[in-house]
Parts: sequence; structure tokens; C-alpha cells
Amino acid sequence: MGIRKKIPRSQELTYVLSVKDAMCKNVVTVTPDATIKKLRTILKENAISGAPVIERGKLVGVISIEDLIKCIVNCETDATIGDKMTKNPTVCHPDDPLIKAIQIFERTGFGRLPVVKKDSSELVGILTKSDIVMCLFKKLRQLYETKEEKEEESKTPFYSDLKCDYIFRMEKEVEKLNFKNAGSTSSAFKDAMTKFGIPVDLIRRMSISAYEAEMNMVIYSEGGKMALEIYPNKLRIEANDRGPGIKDLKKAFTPGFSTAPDWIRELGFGAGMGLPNIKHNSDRVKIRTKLGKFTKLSFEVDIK
Amino acid sequence: MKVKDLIKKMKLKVVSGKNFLDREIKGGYAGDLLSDVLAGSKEGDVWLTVQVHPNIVAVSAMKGHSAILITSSKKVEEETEQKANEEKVVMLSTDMNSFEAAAAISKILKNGG
Repeated sequence: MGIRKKIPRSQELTYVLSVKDAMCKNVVTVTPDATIKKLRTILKENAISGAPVIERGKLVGVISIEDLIKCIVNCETDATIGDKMTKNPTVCHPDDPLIKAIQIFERTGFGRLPVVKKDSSELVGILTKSDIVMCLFKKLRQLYETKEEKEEESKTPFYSDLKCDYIFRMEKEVEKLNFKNAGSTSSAFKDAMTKFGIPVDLIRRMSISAYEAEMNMVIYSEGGKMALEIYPNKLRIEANDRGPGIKDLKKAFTPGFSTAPDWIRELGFGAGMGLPNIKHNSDRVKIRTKLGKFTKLSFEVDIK
Repeated sequence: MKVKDLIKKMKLKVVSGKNFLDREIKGGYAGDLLSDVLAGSKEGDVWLTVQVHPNIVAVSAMKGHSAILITSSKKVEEETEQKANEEKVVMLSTDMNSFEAAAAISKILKNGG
């Protein structure tokens, strides 16, 4: 099932690492009332090619060495930075995945991105392409070193895990009849998908299915495991329980059909909508069941 | 119309999420079968139910409801309340039953709040 596409470790990391892991926190900033002449000194002294413009703690623009050159050519070195800066610059947030920043760089060709807190314009750092390269390099070296240590012990070949084709996987245990914890797996999956910046409507569809699958496992099964896998082009959840299996799959997919006892129905479950809901919200559903043994359910939603 | 306007108009009791009463109510849904609510309700709906166990919070958070309205003065389990506050889910309560409450809300929504 699905594609067998190898994802290089470096690319996988761009989804896992966030902007705050790579950004530079010590930023040289300028104010909008300073002159271009002053900017020239600041850029020269700090050996930098641009700077964010800050007014009363908030980011109001960016100014670069190109702006400076233009001003020198036009003999406007007495103008203020506020007049010549780029207003409302493109920014990124500390918790954005690195891939988002990389996409902005690719799209715009900018040299640097100011990093500001979400919901406010407070500057917390600056991100350049070389920051990203350095961060990935460091992380890869770390991984390499820990891998090498492990390899000594287990003699497994380095980078054997590259064969997996998802970029993220998490697995959770689901307990039989534990209503107190019921729903915690689906919420954990939802949080993970949110962190990966998956579109909200896809998260909602997957979460609803995850919740239905989880409740099925809590109510009807002997317990089992659920796993979320995020691929570049799809989301996948599998729910594997330890039985007792489903007697009649066709009936189980019929809206309104339920084998739930009264006390379950009183809690509002057992509407006979679980599997039909999953089918409705997924692009693909697979189910395998063996009476007395197991039910293995998986469903997927495509990322378009 | 905002949740807080509905609270004022219907004299509802706020059970949880008192900091999120500025949410916009886009419609309503009444139902006590969780799967039915998952399938049928929409984002921004106020959800009318007599269920009071913690699972209603998960359902409501997943669908992005503007609020849950517990009808017939059902007493909310403590754990439900706690979970709702954690998940930023607004829970309201009324002594009307679901039919009466739905009729009242639908009238208020129709008159543009």
C-alpha cells in the first residue's frame, strides 16, 4: 500500500526541527529614525548585510545592504531608515517547522527572515539560509554520533531506518473499557498533526475517524494499539486490536447497525455510526478481522 | 451572535471556559449520540446535549463547536469540567430541555441576535 519513497534524513529534519532551533538570537537591530549614513556604519561594524528595524520593541520593517547602495547611488544618505526600509516584511514564527521557512526562502529569494512571536510583533531572532544549513549539519552530526554508538552495540547498519517512508510516526496504547482515558489518543494525534502544519480540514477529518476508531477499541475490543503516520502526501492511522474480531463486516459498515449493550448506548455511544463515519471521512479504508483474534483497521486522507 | 450574548438572552449558567465567551455562534445541533454529533454538527455550532461525561469535551473540541449547552439541568461530572477547561471548551447549562432550548436558540438566531 502507498508509495515507497525514500525521504533523506536531512529533509525529514526540516519537518521535525522548528525555526527556533536554527535562528540566531543575538540580532543587531536599527531604529526607523536613524539615518542611512548611520546604517552604513552599523552594517560595516557588525559585518552584516541587513538588519530588522525596531520601534518600541516591535518589528516595523527590514533594511538591507541593497537599500543602502541604492541610497548612496541616489545621494540620499541623509534619509531615515524609516523612509527607505521595506515595511511589513515577511516573517516567520519560532514554532514554525523549518520547512516553512525554507519554502519562504525558495519562493521569495530573500536572504533573511525576521522571527517574531506569534500574535505580537516582538522580534526574537533572525533566520538566514546559512543558519538552516548549520542547524541541519549539527543535528545530523549528533544523530550520526549517537547512531555510531548504537551501532557498536547492536551492529545494525548505519542509517537502516531510512527505509521507512513516513516522515513521522507515533504509537499509543488503547485500553479496553477505560472511558476516563478514551479520546486521549485521538487528541494526541490531533496535536501532532497540528504541529506539522497539516491543513485544519484534513486534521478534523482524521481526528473524527481516530476518535471513532479509538472508541470502538475502548468499547468493543480487548484493547490494542493505534498509530499515526504522516507522509509527504497523506495521513494514515492504523488501529490494531487484540480481538474479538467483527462477525459481519458488511453490517458493521451499515449506518445505524450496532451491537452495543444498553449501558454503552446510554453514554451516547453505540449509534452504529463509527465505521460509517470513518469511511465517510477517509479517502481509503482497509479492514481485516479474524474472529476471536484481531481487527486491523487503517484509514488514510490524502494531502493535496 | 456571540456566546456571551446567548448567555445573557437565555440566562444560561457558565460551567467552563469562561474566558472564551467571545466565540461566534454559527448554528446549533442537538443530539446525545456522539457519533451522530461527530457526523452531523458543524464548526461554530452550539451543541445541545444531556450527556455529561468527559467524552463530550473531546467530541466538541474535535468539531470546533462554539459551546456545549447541557440541557435539563444535568449536573456535569467534575472531570468533564476540568477537561473542558483544559481543552478551552465552553460549557453552559440550562434547566430547559433540549427541545425547548433548541426552539429558543433558533428563534434568537433567526432574529439576528
